Amino acid sequence: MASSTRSRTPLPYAPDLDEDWEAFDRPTVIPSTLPNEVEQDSAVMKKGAAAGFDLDELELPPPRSQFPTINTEDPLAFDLKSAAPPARTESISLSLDDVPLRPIGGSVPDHLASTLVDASAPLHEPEPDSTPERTSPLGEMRDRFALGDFSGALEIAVSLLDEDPMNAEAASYAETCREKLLSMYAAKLGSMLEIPRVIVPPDQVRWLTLDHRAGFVLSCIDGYSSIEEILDVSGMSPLDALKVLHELLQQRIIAVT
Amino acid sequence: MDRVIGIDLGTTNSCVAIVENDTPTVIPNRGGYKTTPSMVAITEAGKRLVGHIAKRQAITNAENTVFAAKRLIGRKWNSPQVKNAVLTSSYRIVEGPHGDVRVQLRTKPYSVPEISAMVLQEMKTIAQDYLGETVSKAVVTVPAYFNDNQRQATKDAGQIAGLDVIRIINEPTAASLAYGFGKNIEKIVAVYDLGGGTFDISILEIGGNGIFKVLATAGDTFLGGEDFDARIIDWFVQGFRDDHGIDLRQDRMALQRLKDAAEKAKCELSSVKETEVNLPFIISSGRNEALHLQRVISRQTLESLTEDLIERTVDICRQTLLDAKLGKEEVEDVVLVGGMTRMPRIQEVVSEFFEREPNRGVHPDEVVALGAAIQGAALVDEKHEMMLLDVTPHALGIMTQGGIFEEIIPANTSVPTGRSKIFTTSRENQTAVKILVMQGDHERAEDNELLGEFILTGLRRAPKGSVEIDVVFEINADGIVSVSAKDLETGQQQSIQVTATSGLTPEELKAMVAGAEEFAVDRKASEEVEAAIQEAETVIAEINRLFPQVEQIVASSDFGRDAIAKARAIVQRAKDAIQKKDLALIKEQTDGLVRTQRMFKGVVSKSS
Repeated sequence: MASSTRSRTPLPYAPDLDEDWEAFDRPTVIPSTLPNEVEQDSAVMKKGAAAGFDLDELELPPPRSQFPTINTEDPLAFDLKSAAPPARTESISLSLDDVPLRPIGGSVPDHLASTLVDASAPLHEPEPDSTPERTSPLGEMRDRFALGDFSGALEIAVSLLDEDPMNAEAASYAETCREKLLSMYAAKLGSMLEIPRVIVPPDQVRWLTLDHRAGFVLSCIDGYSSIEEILDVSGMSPLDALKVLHELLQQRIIAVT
Repeated sequence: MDRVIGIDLGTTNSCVAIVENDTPTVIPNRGGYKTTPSMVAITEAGKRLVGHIAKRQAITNAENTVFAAKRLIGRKWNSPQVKNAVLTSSYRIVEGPHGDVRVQLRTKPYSVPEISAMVLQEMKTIAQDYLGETVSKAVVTVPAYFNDNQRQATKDAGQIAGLDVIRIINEPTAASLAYGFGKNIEKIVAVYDLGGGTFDISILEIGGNGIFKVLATAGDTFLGGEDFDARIIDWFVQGFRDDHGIDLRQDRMALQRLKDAAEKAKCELSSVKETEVNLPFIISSGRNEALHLQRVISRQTLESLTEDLIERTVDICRQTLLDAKLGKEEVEDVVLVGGMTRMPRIQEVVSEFFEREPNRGVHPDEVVALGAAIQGAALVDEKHEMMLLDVTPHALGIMTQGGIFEEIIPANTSVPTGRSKIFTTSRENQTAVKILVMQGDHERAEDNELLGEFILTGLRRAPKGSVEIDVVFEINADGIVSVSAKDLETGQQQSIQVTATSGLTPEELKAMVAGAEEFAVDRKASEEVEAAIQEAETVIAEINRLFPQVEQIVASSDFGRDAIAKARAIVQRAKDAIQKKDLALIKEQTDGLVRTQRMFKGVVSKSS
């Protein structure tokens, strides 16, 4: 049996900006015991792929409740081979804190691909470096970043900075995550000079599932203002506003011309 | 010949006009609007926003959005108007280094002329885009009650914006100019100006010799369209609270949407009897459910909500006529200025009060800018006969015993001019006298603006009233006031020269001019990059549209497979250049894109 190659790409202190972010575009809501569950995710994906699922089809994360949970203290608690493919969610609920994103173009970065290939390896095998650091917020932040979960990594970085504003590593991760997420959303929306339009008929808008922040951004879309101008008037941080616009685009509530 | 633009630098909205082929014309902005909000904001990213875009985020970024800077311009930090503004403004007003006023936006304090300069710069750009040429001269309007310091501060704002303000004229005068354009009229008119933030009523005598004499002017600098909007907002907020138990004022985004909707509804109600306001997802309830605001408001409701505001304008009109010792019947015409005068109820009330239908021949939003443009054209083109004379906006004089203001040069005196008056000592054996030079129209000296002071010493000891001092006021063509006091017996003399000041030193002004020039250069460069990006993206879109067809054609041929790969590389390189926002690189890559597009089109056309 191949040894576990839980690919924890060694992350230098300053995160690498040259990674292909699109391929890392992963669900943002990840359980706090992230590293194991992500591994589980990979295992599920692998299983799905084996069953004929295309990677591109895995556009929505299954509900957390449907992921088997792993007790790291009991290596035999979960047998991957008997795990059923996860049920798929049917709809997307638009919320600022839970962005369903899907891998773009089906390409998988090398280190993530290796987790897929090696998923048959015992998941429960502890990593040599699965010391307290891994389960600490700092370690979790690094892991999430390595897995391309920039939203999750940013969330942890921000909470670390709340506790200790002088935490240089968290600050560096936060900044890099913001940059990555900004360029990710921006790339998906196209040029900042593009003009978004609302494509849902006005009388149907109220039947959408939006929160008031998305409602506000939607109200800024007048058919004349560019994405850049909408960001300027949104009163939100550019990252939040782009995230909402991206969600509206994914929901096919708006189109970008 | 230089073109001169006319700018109505309003409290809430500004407008720019020019005379083209003898016809005064308002220049629309890029969005097609003829007025531009006089608002300036600095975003979180440090970007400067001016006009409509600043207005659209005025509530969500309230601390860093300046509106109604005109209420502060040329005022001193310790003035009551500034004290009031400090308490009521959403943005931070701080004391400047010379007792002047600064506005703190993000990390930088800006002087008020700098803020106004940003608006003027925007108006200049609108004119330049329209005319396709550089504009450097302007006539700018100010309220009739502005004193010399406020006028000088407005001129400084123009200078910072890269404009030579060749004349400052009174707003009601500009409105009268536009009203009388092409007609040879001599009459007394009332200019009722209800704008977005202020109300002014002015009674003018239009003379045949180019003299527009302001007989009386009054107003309320805190009464305007925004107060009407606020009443509508209150009505919606109350209704929503009744329905859902939620206060929309607690959420800035909700309030921003409500403000925009209230203003829109108000405008619509000038032409329709009722209108619906529909704001989906305006706020989230505690149960994580978004709520909608949907309500119909009628014209009648608006009128009942704002009746007292309209009545306040009438009270001011009544008082102004009394002050000018004029009867309503002496007012021969009423000119309506300001967007709010489109409201039917206001027109009714004005016609009831003045007992005559107001003049409908001028556009209320544009008339002031048009008047300024007419004056600008007249100043540079001799064939234009209409020539306004520069007049003193307020009386000039000195303070005398008992704190009484003694007028030496009356308001509306055309300049250059000089007047003198003889005063005597007020105490026994008085050897010195303090001359306090003031400007204003109030009897009590303390209500007027202090321009400067000096002491005349060496008076002979004598009983009070026996030493005669000749006080001479002179105003030269540049508006510089010189005051001298001379002991007629001894010839002892002291004098002072008063130059209006905006509160900025010449060094500060110079630095601000340089800063604004730099900003204009950066902005132009940024616009060039944006235009290049747009061009490149248009070609990329066309290439992407042709790709499937070309690939299909190439697939059935032995040739051209490399070309496909090369085309993809060219598109990718162009995208990279766009990402970097490098103008030279984008242009270089666009050339490659255009060649690729041409090649693709050729392939497609040959195969069809």
